[in-house]
Parts: sequence; C-alpha cells; structure tokens
Amino acid sequence: MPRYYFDVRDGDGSFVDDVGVELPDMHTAVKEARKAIADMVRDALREAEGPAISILVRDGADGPILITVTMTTDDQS
Amino acid sequence: MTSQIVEAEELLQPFFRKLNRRDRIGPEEQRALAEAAEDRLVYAAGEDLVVEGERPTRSMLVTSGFTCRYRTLPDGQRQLTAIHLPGDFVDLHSFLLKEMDHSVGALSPTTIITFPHERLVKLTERFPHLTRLLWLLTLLDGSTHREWLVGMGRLSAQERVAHLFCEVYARLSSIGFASDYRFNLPITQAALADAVGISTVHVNRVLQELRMGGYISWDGGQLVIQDWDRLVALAQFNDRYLHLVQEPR
Repeated sequence: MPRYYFDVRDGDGSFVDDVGVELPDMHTAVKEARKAIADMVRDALREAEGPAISILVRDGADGPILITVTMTTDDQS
Repeated sequence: MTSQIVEAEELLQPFFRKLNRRDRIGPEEQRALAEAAEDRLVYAAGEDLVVEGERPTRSMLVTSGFTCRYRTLPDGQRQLTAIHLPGDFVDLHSFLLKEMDHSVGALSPTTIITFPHERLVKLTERFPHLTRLLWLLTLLDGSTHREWLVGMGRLSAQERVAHLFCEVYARLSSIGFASDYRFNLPITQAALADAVGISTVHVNRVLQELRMGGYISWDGGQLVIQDWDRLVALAQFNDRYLHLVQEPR
C-alpha cells in the first residue's frame, strides 16, 4: 500500500508529517484527512475563537490535495 | 510440586504483584492459582487471543506483552475499550458471561497462560478469598472502562492520549514493570488512535504536540514522561480508579 503524508497547519503552526500512514488510495487518504480535521476542529473550538485548520495530503505520485476548514465567530452585539 | 507448577508460579509473578498491591495473598493461594494454570501460549502482534461471539472454555492471563479489548463495527471501524498489561486476566469475563461480546487482541508479541473454566470453578469453591479477588479484578476492569468513558466524553484528544500514558505508567510501575517515568510502549499509532477514538492522522499530530510541549519524548522504543506533574494536570489524571490500596477485601 502507498504511504500518504498529512501536513497540518493550525493555530499552533505548521507540522510537516514525515511518518505518514499506509492507505489503499488517495480517496481513502482524503477521507482520513476529513475525519482528522473534524476531530481537530472539535478540540480547537475549546480553545480558540475561530480556528483555521488545513491538512495537505501528499503522496509520491498524485499532486497534493489541500483540505481546509475555517471557523469564524460573528459577534452580533 | 511439579516443575510445571513452579514455572507457572514464576510466570504468575506480575499477577501476584497486581493482587498484592490491593490485598495480601498467601502462599497456599498462590500455589492453588499456579495449579489451576494449564497452557502457556504465544501470540504475535496483531493476532487475536479470542474473538467476539466465541464461547471459550478457558480464561487467559497475560504474562508478557500488551493486549487490548476491542470491538469492530460492521462498517470496519475499530474501538479499543481497554489496554491490558502483564498480570492482567484478560478474559475472566468469559468464565461467567460465556459468550464473548468483544474480542481480545495482541498489540505486541504476547505470552499468556490459560485457566480452564472447570478449574476456576473448583478454585472459587475452595478459596472464597480468591473468589473475591477475581471479582475485584472484574470490578477494576469496570472502573477502568468508566474512566475511559469519562475521557471519551469530556477530554480533548490530546488530554485522552495524555491520560492513557499516565494510566499505562501508573499500572506498569505498580507491578514493578516501569520506573523513572519511562516505559516500553510497543503499540502502533493506529492502535493508539483506536484506543482514544480519533484518526491516525490526528494521533500523529497529538503526539507531536505532547513532544513539543515538553510533556513526553521518545528514546528508542521507550516513551519518556518528561514532566509527570504537568502530564497529570493536562490529563486530569487521578489514579483512584486503579484502587492501588492494600487492604483486606
């Protein structure tokens, strides 16, 4: 199985993944990244006002795919 | 005494230490337990010791290695519900529940010793105090499940991983298998992710955060807890649920 790398950028900075995870294909890797980002947003919301988190999914062959979630809080007062 | 029973008593030392941390067991009780032991079996990492739906006729006690209880959902997702260490009786549950409602798998190379159920029946009839101690062990499984449930519902992913590290260190050190805030953690990141209920990608990130935050570091295959007090505070860890008090039970 090919190895996919997940670089994370969030409020704490950038994290380049040099370990990676073995997965069957890019489609599964993107699904994995979406699950991870959902977990991360849940945790980030406990601490930050409007977390912006992105994950760059890389492998050796296909071009990288970027998944980004940005949450904002609108103060209506 | 046959050499087999002597060997069983040797292999059961982590188990006796576990019991002695919470009560005192006598030489006669130790011998009776060793006599009730049957086979010594070896498993490779990733192998199942017992699978959900089976009806085992013997219970298994871990003498070395890391194992886990887990469930796999029909969609393929896996959740670990406990991690078991040397000295843990991993499926005392099947003795009375009969049909396994979860599986037990080896996370690392593992050695176990089996106890046929009919011998456990005799043991519990002859030794009421041992019966209470076996009962205590399943209550400890329950208290640990409760602690994991609280963590799953209320702690962040980072706090859950921190909590798991605190728990494993507290349990290993209580039976003399770890000291100086370091221990072998022979489990994959995928297993760690399944233990705390997050994705492998996230667990990767969480480990990085714990390392950069000065909580932990890695030394070969060993996890080193750099600052126990801060890790405990982060995880809101309290070892009360492990019941490490030696008193008559």
